[in-house]
Amino acid sequence: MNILFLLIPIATGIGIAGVIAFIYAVRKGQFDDLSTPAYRILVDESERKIDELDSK
Amino acid sequence: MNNSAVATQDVSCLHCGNPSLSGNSFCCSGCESVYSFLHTEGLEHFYQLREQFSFRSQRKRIHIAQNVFPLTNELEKSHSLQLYIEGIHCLGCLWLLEKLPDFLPKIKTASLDLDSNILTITRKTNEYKWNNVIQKIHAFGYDVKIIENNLEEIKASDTKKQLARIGIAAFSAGNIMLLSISIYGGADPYWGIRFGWLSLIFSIPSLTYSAWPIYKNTLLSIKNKMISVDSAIVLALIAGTVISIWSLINNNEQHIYLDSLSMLVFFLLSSRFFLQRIREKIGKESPLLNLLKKEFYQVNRDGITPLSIAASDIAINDKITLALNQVTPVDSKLINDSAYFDFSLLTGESSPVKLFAGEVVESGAICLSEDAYVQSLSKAKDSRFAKILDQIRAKKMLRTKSIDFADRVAKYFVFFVLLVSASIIFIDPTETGFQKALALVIVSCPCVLAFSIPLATTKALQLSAKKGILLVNAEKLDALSRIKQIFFDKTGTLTTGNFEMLKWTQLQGDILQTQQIVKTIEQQSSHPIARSIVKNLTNVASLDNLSSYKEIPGIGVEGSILGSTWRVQKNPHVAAISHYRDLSLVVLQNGSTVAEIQLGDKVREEALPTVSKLRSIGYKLHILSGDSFERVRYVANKLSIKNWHAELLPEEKSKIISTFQDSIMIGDGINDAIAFQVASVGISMQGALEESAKNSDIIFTKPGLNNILTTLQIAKRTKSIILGNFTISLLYNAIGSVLAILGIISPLWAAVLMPLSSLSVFLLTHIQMERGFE
Repeated sequence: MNILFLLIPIATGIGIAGVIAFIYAVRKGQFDDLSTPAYRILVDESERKIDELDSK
Repeated sequence: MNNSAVATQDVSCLHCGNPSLSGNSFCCSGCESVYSFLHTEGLEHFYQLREQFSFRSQRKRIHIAQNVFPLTNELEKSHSLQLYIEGIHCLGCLWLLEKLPDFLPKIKTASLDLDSNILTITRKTNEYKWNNVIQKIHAFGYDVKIIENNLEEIKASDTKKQLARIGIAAFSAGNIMLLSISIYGGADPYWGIRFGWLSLIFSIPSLTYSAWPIYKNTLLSIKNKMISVDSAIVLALIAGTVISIWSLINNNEQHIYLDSLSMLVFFLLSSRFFLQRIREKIGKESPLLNLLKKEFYQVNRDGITPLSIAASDIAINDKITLALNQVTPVDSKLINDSAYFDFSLLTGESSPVKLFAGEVVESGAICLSEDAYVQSLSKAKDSRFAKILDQIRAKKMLRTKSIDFADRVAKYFVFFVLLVSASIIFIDPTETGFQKALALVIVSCPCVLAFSIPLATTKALQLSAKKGILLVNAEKLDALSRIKQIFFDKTGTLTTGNFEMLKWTQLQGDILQTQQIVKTIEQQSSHPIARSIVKNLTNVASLDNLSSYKEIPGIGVEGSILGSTWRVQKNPHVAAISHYRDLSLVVLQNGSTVAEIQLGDKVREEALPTVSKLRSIGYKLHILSGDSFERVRYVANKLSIKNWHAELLPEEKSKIISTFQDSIMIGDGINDAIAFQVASVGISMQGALEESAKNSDIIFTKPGLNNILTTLQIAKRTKSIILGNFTISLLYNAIGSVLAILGIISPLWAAVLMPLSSLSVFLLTHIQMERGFE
């Protein structure tokens, strides 16, 4: 069972990494607007750029 | 592509899709210019996207009559600007607005939030004027309103902090749960104690940083000498932590409650967060609240350039042009020869009043003529309207803040839990008895306080928002469940508040033909009476062979159709006899009477059933009106309401209400707003004046009086659900924790059963709340 002395710190480390990632995402505004991105993804960003590529 | 090449016979406008009457490809030059602009900028993709996807069709567009956009100095300097955009209906709109930086190079970013219709734009240099962007968006055909205070930003940073607290609480609770389950599962004491100490370390961020708002609220309520939900929770947190540390020191891993405590913190923070989020969403979706902001007026100060300025900035002697349905901002003097005004919001007086040049128009009067030109006599802050507002504010200050619904019920709950715990100690005054009692306190609090009360309140808010009832003050749910007296305003509340056709009596000839002719003639007039006749004859076709038309001031209108001269005019005989009928008209064909029309403020169709239902439930009903004695008596008799008062000043309304307890005031005018402050609950009808809606606790966003029945029903049900949830979770947890301590079921089972009790409460609340409201 002594392996727990290694496993628990690793598990805790992963947990803390998760919390840090979450707080980072919150600060970067990932959760500010939850509905618009769902529609935004339906629009192609670079409509014109694709046309240009096709013509080349 | 060449625009003119596309023209065909049955054309709909290439830009907006409306039928084009001229046979061109566009219905108007506005659409044409937007279309050609989109083409020159290479933005034709808009039209494809519009075909693909449209949303928001369920909500009616609100027109913001504003085309000049004055900015404060502060906003002119700020690097970002927020705009409320009305008229977004499809994916193309989203795409187009977020494309702004592509064709306006000075704009750095543009992002639209579809929940709130708020567009946030940032610019590259401060030299670039915001007005260029705003005018462009306006030219696209959207209505724009500038958001003046950056409240949104402050709120956003607050939300972020809350999310961080929840994240950390989840981390603590999750890790402690893992450790506790192994303790419950029978880890040997060597590991049990170590896991216990580890749990304590994990719980520190949760109990300090995450729970910080809970401690802060408790300190506040202790200062105010009240027991709130939070003080009960702090009690459980402190007691639980102390017991846990004590057990750890004594090498006893059986009485560590850190798992329950960290779960409690997590549940509480997240349920509160969701509650707040839903409340905000309800608020955002109601366009009403977005528009409860500054109204702008077209003012001509120096006689040359018209300005668009806010009511508060209007100076004495400014000349103001009032549009149809606009509220007069300041006491002023009429410059036009004559114009019609509606004073119903101010006084309750229901019929339109005709004012002549030089007469005083009181602030708060609604303009019923197309363009009334007035000169201000006072500043906005000195007007009659502002004085009433001051009184409302003064009354609002006096109003005792009603105790939050949850806090009120929590008091009973805490008392009850303590009583049960005390009796457990009384029956079994040993250490085990003490532990049992404590376990009950710690285990039952999370379930009810963190879960069932916010859940029931949120459900009530959601349900009522769906029904068109906006609960601005959620704590009023409690007051609503205890209501005994209901006070109605008359004009606009029991009646429609519009001048409507009450009765059409055909004396000779064909009724349909007469109505067609009357509609055709009245359509020519912009008089409010003519307009309401036309509105009531929407199902009748109008004719196109009107050969002559004239208006006879003070009498009526005249026109010739099919060789006869028709006249619609006031009926001189009837008007003098019956007081309650506001206006009687006659239709004359070549001088002989063909039909009689009665017009007046119509009692709402649903008023009688609603009123009788309320009476049968046992509510005491009253009418408080500023309108004339005769008219109020007529409505009161019709609805058989015995307690009625007429010709009241706003102050008198509140005086009458203050003699009763547990009362609702429901109205729509500024003259009701003082009464809102005195009544336990103030409700404003749909279409209420902005100042009145702002000062009420509940706003109806759908027309009709029957909303009041639904409101009362929802409030009563919410209360009974919360009380039911109390009983269930208390029984559940009491039995669970007693069984666990007696050793009949293992602590592991108790830990599994706890979330199940929350789940059952959740399901019960959901089912009970939805039942009967479909």
